[in-house]
Formats: sequence, structure tokens, C-alpha cells
Amino acid sequence: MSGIAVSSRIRLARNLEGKPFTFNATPKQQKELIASVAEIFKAQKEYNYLEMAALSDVDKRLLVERHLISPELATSQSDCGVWLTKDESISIMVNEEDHIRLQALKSGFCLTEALEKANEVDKQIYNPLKIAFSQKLGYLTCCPTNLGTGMRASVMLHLPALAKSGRIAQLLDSITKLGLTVRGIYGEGSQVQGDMYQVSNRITLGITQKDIVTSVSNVCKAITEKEEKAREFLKKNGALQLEDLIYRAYGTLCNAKILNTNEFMQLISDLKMGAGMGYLILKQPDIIDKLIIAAQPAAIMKRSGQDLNELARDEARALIVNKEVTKNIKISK
Amino acid sequence: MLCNECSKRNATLMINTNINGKQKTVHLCSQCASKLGLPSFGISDNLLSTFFNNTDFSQMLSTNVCPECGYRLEQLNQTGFLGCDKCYESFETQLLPVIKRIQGSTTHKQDISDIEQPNKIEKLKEELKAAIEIEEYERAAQIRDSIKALEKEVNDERNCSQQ
Repeated sequence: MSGIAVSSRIRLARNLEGKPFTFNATPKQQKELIASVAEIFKAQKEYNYLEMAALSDVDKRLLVERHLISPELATSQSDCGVWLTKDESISIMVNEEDHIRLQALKSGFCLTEALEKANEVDKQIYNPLKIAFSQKLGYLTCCPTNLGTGMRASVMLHLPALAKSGRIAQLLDSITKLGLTVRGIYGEGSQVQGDMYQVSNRITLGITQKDIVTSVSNVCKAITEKEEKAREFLKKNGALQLEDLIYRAYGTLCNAKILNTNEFMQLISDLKMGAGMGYLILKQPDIIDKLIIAAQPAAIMKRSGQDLNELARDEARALIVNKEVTKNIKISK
Repeated sequence: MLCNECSKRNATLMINTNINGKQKTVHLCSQCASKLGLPSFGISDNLLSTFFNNTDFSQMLSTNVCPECGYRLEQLNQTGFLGCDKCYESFETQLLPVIKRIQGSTTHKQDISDIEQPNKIEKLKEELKAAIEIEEYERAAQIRDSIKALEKEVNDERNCSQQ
């Protein structure tokens, strides 16, 4: 699909029976939950635990940029943390809005595989933890918007051609009418950057996991086709302008001395479209997606090992981007 | 109706509690309610929010506290959250219309992933058997009532989904 579907994610919200939800729990109850979850995962070698209170703000932000924790967990006042697998495909947040939020992340378009992974982990926690489940309302969650399956299935879509053709607003409107939600790059309440849109289910109750995955997949497939058509249209009706756009983005990313996040995200979006359309050759297929993560603010600060002001950060970003793009991306002749 | 506490003034608040499935309604006047530490809110209180429309508003005038965690239903209005899993039972009457509006449904659809989870009724039947064996008849009666309540719930759901 020319890299249009960037990643797929399944998130399950789970809570313990008879225990107050995180925000309503005492520090002692929060600690007890952390200990009970640790009992399950500490013996499993592929998992590591990161306690939020022990991390610096940059490290927390870094986890958000890599989509491993929610922005809410990073700023939470509760005693909380995350269990992560080494390959970063599974993350289990403890004491988030719900007691447990587990997510399975896959790159590309594979919600079904992500669902299987998430269900495997779900089975591991169900019995030892006594998860709150009612025959009538399904999994009982802190917010009624997550009842039933407690599941959010989302696909991150890169839609530059639809955005440029001005048809995106109309499309997003019809997605909403189909019972789905569109969010920005870091989920609920976040901005759209680099033409990245997260499409997910809104309804979680009265529908099976499988049906949620099917409906999100079908809509994402339809949007992907529309994006492909919009790209073809651009190529047919403005090949010169399109090439100019892509190669200007390439030139700037190779040579700019200062790159702020917004400019970088817009240029890399054009570059990603160019690569998807065969104008550019990539050394590895995921190089652009990796670069997007490596060029985010916290990732740059972590790399430099110091607290940078905005200008210094934009300079450092330009340096990294110049090097990576020159080395790994070539113009197709 | 007179206040159940002082039997003098007219009751202006109705409190519904649901403890282990037992519904209880108490009527109080605003003075007795504040003596008992319950908030007495009037029409001016800002209870209308994204979650509740006008029909829920009248229901909201009854003060509700979850016996399990002490969470007040009005807090849902401020936070959008419930206090614990048992809040769903404690505030069932008031919550169902809200859930219906958010989710378009109030019934969980059984899923392949649920199949392996223990069926609550079966689990209770086992507990009932065990209680009878050790001659704990009072407990056995409680379990029997819970089973009946659950079975009724399941039947009601079936009827609803068939309609």
C-alpha cells in the first residue's frame, strides 16, 4: 500500500474487580496493583518495567513519541508505569486512566495480527488479576466510552495527496458518520502533523472485537484507495509540480541548517509520498518512519544528552536529518 | 412525602442505594441531608454537561453514592469517570440511558475472546454447592438469590435482543 498505512494498534482497557479506578484509588492501592501486575511479567525475559516517577521528562516524552505510552501516562500524578517488550511491540500501562491498558503495535496494516497479540497478553492477566467483567456490559472501564470490549483498534494513515487536494475535511466527516474517529498523531486531543491521521473505532459496546477490526480495516482500506487515486490524479494533472514539490523537500531535508518540527513534518510527509510513488529510492523501506521518530523533540534532546533551547534543537534536528536523508535516500533516475 | 430522618419536614431528596443487589430508597429533607454530609444541590447547580441531557437531569436530582467506593454520581459529570467497577451496578438506572447515548447499545456482545472466561452463573452454582456441603445455609441462600438475579438479567437480555 505504498506506505500509506504506517502502523496498526490494538488497545485493551482492563480493570480489577472491586478496586477503585486509578484516579479514585489510594497510593497504597496503586502500589498494590503495580505489584500484582509485576508478579505476572517480572519472570518473562522479554518484558522490562519502566516506572514513570523514575524517568526524566525527556525520557517520558520519548516514550510518547515512540507511541509506547499515552501522553496522559507521561503527565500522570498517579503511581504508574509501563511494561514493554524489547521489540516494543507490546506495552502494558499500569495505573493509566484504567488500571491496565495493554497495546499491541505493528508496523503497516495488520490489525488482525495486533489483535491476536493483544489477546494473548489479555489471557495472561485475566485469571491472576480478577478482571472486572459483567455479562451485560462486558469489561467495566473507568469511562463508559470504553465499556464492552474495552478495545480501540487504530490505524495510522499517511494521507498527503488527500490533504493537498482539499478533500480531507469531507472525508473525515464521512468517517465520523461511519462510527469511527479520526485523531492526530499521538491520539486523543493531539494535532495532525505530517498528514498523519489515526483512524479508530468510537463504539466499544454491543460489537465484537472481530467486527471492530473488520469495520476499521474496511474503512482504512477505502481511505487508502482514495489516497492512491488522489496521488494518481496529482501525477496525471500536475506531474511537474509534484516532482518539484518532492525534490524541493528532498533538497531542503538534505541541506537545511535549521528545521523546526512543523517544517520537518511537512517536508518529510512530501518525501514519504515521493518514496511511495517511486520518485525516490530508500535503502531500507522503514527509513522514513524511523527518521520521523528520531527527529522528534525528545529524541533529539536524548541524543544530544543535554537540555537544548528551541534553536539549538532545530539545528540538531537539521544535522541528523541532513545526514540520514543524504545517506539513505536517493533520487530515482 | 415526609423526611425519613426527622419525619417533620417535606423530603426534597431521594437517595437510591444498591447494596449487593438490594435496592433501597431513602427520602430526606435538605437539612437532614446536609447533617448526614450529603450535598443538597439545587436547580442552579451546574449539572448539565456533555454527559447528561435534560431527561437525566431530573434523575440526577437524587443524590447517589456508590456503597462500594463512596463515589458520587454527580462526580461523573465533572470527571467523565466512574469510581469503581461496582459503580455500574450502583448507578445502573441513571447510567443506562447515558451508555445508550454514548455507545448506541447497552448490551455487551459475546465475543470469541470472552468464551474462555469463566461464566459467572456456573461459578456461582459451584459456590452454592460448596456452601450447602458445609451447611452454610445463609450464604447458600444469598448465592441462590444472586444466581436468580443473574439468570433473570441474561433472560431479559435475550428477550431484548430478540425483539
